[in-house]
Amino acid sequence: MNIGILYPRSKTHPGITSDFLDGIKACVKLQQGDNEFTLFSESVGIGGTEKEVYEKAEKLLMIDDVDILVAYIDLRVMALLEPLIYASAKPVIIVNPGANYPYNWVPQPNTMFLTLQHAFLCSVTGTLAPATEQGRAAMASTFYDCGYLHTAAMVKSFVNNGGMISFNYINNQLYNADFHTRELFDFLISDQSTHSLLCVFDELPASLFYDRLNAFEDAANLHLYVSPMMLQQKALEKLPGGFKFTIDGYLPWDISSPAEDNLSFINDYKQHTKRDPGIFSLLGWETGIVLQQVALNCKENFRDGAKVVETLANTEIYGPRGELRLDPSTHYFISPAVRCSIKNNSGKMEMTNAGLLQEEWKAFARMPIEGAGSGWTNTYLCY
Amino acid sequence: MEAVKVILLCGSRFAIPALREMYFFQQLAAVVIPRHCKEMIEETREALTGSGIPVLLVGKDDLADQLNDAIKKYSVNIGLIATFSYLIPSSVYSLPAKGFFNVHPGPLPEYRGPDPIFRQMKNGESLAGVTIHKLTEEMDTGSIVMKEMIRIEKEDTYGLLSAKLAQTAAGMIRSLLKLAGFGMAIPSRPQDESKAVYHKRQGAKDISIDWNAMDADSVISLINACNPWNKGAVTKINNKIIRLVEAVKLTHADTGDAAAGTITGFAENGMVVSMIRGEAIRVNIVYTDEGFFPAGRLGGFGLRVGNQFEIIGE
Repeated sequence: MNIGILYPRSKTHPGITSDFLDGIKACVKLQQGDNEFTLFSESVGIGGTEKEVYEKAEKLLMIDDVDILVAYIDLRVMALLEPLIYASAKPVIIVNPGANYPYNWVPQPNTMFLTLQHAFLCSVTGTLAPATEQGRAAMASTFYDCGYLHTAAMVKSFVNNGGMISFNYINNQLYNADFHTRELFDFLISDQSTHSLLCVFDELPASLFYDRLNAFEDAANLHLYVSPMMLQQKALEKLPGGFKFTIDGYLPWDISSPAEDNLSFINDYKQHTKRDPGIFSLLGWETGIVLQQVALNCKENFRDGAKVVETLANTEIYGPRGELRLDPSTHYFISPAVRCSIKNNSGKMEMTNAGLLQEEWKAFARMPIEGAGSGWTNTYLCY
Repeated sequence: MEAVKVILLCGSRFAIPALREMYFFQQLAAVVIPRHCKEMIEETREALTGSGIPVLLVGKDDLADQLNDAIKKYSVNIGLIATFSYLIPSSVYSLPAKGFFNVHPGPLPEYRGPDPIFRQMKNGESLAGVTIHKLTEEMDTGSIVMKEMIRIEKEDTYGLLSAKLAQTAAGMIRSLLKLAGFGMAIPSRPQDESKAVYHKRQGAKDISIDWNAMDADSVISLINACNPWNKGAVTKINNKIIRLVEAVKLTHADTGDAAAGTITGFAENGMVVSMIRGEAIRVNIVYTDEGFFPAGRLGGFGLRVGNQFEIIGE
């Protein structure tokens, strides 16, 4: 089976290319016999140059005539590939962190989405805040991070659950020693009734944000509701001893899970690459799992995208996150989420399996999208 | 990026969002509208005020000549059709270098024909679609470039759904023109003829309620499909034509053994009507020659519990 892969690059997450590709390779390497895979790969850089992405996709689908296309791109760029995807009718797996969600949830029949569910998890996180606070929260993000819909998802669910945004703080600074949160501090001092912060940051600015916020005199009264990248290890590396504030949110994956599929991933990946796995290797590995399932269950029609989707929607698939369920109405793979909580001054993240959150997912995928929007075209975290 | 110069052929508001967007992005070279589409002519002129973009009015007889001239005069390199009542001769649609495409407000090949929005709604589909295909001599038969489906919501009327599909079409056209601007060959896939269905324009029977055959969902689908363009689905009672504009299905209604189409009560400004299979609907708004009314006011027109709607033509 010939697999075309459009793979990403990132300056801020330089491991993304090797992690993602090695994740796929490590997974499919285990495949024996008739289901061998041949990989054809093309770089699409940060995924933001539409013409380049189109040309590479066209080459893989039309010239190399791959059987399946795996494209690590975001939704805005995917829109341009629609004619190509439609004309080929082959299975197409769109992979990304899931920081955006589609304006139209009705998918093309031959397209699937494998993500880290970031926007969805932000949406679920947004519902936590009003339940525990007085309904007021300040929104904090960066100029880069707020160019994706995960920010909107968190705010929208917060507001829909009775919350009110009292301040919007967008950090537009370089992520270095000059990084500051002065304007946010000024607001928090002036408005004594806001103690909740809805936060969407990538891991590096998140670590700086936590660090500066910890120095805020009223930090002990703050409660942060954060995006998944803010719960990554690098974001929390200054955690030993704990922060003065409390942090709540969701992760898409518990790397420490003792589940057999997770341990198998971690061991095989380490053996294959001599590196520890991360979220991008997880996405690569899970892509490999989906490809294996196509090879196993769609032997006669693996080039027929609509049939592959139909088959996978009725197939039990498991990976490091647990069940990988293909939602037949959106063609998104959904997985159990991990509820995370770090009490103030504890330095310890408590994690519990929150399950598939199916009802929340259904509600999220039915939420009407209103008004005009704009945002970055590159794939989230590729910058 | 190559300059894209579009000639847009259109006859209804379905084209307006795309027209505005193409105007904004300076992609619109000319607009062509049939002379009989008075409202569209007015709305287009309004939208393009001060733009200098020509709005050409055509009839069946001078269509080919006018298009031929315009394509050359305005250096058009791509043609788009969005609900246009005339067929385009191949001598014309082969002229633009980047091709000529039809934006059809329905999924192809399943919904060929002049008014797929009505047909999709009347058929109670859960999804409605827009298809962009390459132009051929026969209507709605060309290779498909793009197809996008959206949900039909319970509260969608023909007007609401048309507006949503128009926005969907504008997004699809944006991608198409971007692709054309990149100088790419635009891929397409032939239609599966085994799934092709041609739906002719709806006649009097299509917009009338058949109380003996249609269940509650079908009647509500028809009512929504006829709102607002037909002022509702048509029925008759006491020799008077009435159009049902809005209704909801009742989940817990006891209509006894009343025959389908019988008024079983007046409530909440509405009128409860029994349906086949023991179902019931509450009609909220009606239209008569005297105007639009809450259905509950039909009592003032002499209608009573026990009166029965009739099937037109019987």
